[in-house]
Amino acid sequence: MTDIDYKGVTKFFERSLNTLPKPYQSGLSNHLSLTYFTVSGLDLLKRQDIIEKEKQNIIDFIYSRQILPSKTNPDVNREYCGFRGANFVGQPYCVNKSHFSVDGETPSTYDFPNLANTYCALMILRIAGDDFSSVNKKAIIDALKCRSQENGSFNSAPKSTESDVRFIFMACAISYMLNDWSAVDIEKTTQFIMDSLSYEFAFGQSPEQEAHGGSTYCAVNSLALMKKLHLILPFKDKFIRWLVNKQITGFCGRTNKDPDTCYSFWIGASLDAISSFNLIDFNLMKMFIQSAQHQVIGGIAKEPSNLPDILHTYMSLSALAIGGDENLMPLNPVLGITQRAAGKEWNDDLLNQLLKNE
Amino acid sequence: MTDYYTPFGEREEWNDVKPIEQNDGEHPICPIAYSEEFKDKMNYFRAILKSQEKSLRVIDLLNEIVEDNASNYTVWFYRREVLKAFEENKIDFDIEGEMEFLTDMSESDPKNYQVWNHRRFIFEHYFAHKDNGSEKEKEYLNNMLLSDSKNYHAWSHRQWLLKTFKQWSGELEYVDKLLSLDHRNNSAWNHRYFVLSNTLSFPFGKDIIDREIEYSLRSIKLSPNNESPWSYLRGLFKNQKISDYPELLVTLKELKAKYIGCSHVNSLIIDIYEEQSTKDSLEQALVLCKLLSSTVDQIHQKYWNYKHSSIEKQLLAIK
Repeated sequence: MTDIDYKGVTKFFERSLNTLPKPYQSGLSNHLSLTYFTVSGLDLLKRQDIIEKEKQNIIDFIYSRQILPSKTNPDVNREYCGFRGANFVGQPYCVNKSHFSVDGETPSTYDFPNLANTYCALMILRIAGDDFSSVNKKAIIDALKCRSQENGSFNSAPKSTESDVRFIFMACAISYMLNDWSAVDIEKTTQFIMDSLSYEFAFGQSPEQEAHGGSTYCAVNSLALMKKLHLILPFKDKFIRWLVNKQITGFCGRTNKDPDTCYSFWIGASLDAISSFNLIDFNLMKMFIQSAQHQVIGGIAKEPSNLPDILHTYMSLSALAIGGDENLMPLNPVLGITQRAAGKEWNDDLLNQLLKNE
Repeated sequence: MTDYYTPFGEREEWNDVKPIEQNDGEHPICPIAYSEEFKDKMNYFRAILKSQEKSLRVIDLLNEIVEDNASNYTVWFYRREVLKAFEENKIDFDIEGEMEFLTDMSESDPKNYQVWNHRRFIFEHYFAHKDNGSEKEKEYLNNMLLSDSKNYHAWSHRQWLLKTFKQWSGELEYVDKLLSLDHRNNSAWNHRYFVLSNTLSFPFGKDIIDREIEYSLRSIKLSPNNESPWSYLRGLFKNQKISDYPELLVTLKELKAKYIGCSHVNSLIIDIYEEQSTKDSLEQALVLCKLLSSTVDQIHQKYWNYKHSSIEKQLLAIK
């Protein structure tokens, strides 16, 4: 079996760190997620040397995306704190590490943070070795309280009507990383997740929706972050069966769909959360990923003969890392960063939770 | 588009606006190589946000921006602000045109959360209470699902529409139609479950269970290895016991003899044996696990070995 071209994929991420080609402009408002795939991808590929070299630039760049409360009147933008995806509404470039916006400056009405970018910002800072000392944690948690919905779910951004398990996962990851759960009503949020369990014994994006690999990842790993994984136990085997049945060669995300490399991670990490990743056919999955790697560009596509992109490349590598691929650093799949970046305390706390209870 | 693009700076009607550049500092990480067009449009977007202009020409600008930046929440948010201002100031605006624009957008970019989100807002705000408003929206969804019958966004929008405006009639026939085109369409199966559990009492009564067993078996007979109807069949018994329907086990055993290579029938029989939880039933379940791991379902061999050991533990517990 020919192997993944690890050198090629490393070059792909090195190029991405320097420039993302034009098609990524459609992802402008979620630019921190693109940055996260790239930086965490290099970390997975054991290129901490590159991250170390760029460390200060990375950290400063991320802090330039932080939306801070007004010093004179913090209530005026309480709902708007966190990290924005990019400076595209005309903000000045400003690396402010003081916990408050520059004195006298009126925050822009259209300067929106969202949960995805806030979650990615915190992970990139962690990967780069920042200690969060310039993150205004209280402001992020206060804003997160404004995202929380009556039904236990969270919405994505100020004034947004999108709310489902994706944002629950991000809210949990943010709360976990900042070690402050005061914005999450754990009982209600857990109930929303359990209500999203479909008759197929896997999770949909919200109650009654079709079981879906991405939603299932968010649901199970939110439970892991909230230490509620035992709720899976009554239907654990049926849940595992849905997950392993998604393997065709690679994994599909829903019953009777075609395989797509990113579901190797969403499904693989869901299995890993309940210590059952070993139940898949790893080599078959690896062959599918390998067949979706572009020989010239080096990145990995969603399926063979498509153009590669950084999301599918990162998710594919993450899935291989769960399986212990020696070319990669071990992963903490609950958060989506390497175990090196997460650190011993978070790894000990989050990984193999069900085994520890047995 | 490149051939026809006129920069905003060369458009007379925009010469009162001073564009604002994006500032990413000296050392941007993962900078995007924006096209000149993209930069140009965004420079004018920034200027508009600053002046907070809410006019018809702003809608034109936003139309051009979402062509290559459809997932930008802020752009859509500002669009709603502009529409709100039109309403308040009684500025004439073609809202039907807005809906057509969204239909075009969803055809070219059918999986964009922001497009669907904006559509829901426009529908709720301007169309929901018009005559046949929700029927027309359903027709639109029928068209969308005709080109991709598994589009998660379209199904989510349909579920919302049905629940909010109580548009349940004709839905089961609609599912029949989709399944006759593709009986592997799991979204359609999920939809049948959704419609039944919202229009009937839940857990399902015996008459419904019997009818739905028939329904799934008809599809299973067309292709026994189709996971969807099996999953649906098992799901019918949510919050009740399959073993309360002993005649189903008899049928399944017949099908098992007929569909030798079908993992799903064996898998469901194992579920029933597990539920019965007697020494005899669990021992029979062990035999089936062996059969599945060794011949019928080798790709999931590791799962069946795991299941085997999990049933062995149950057996020890009752002995």
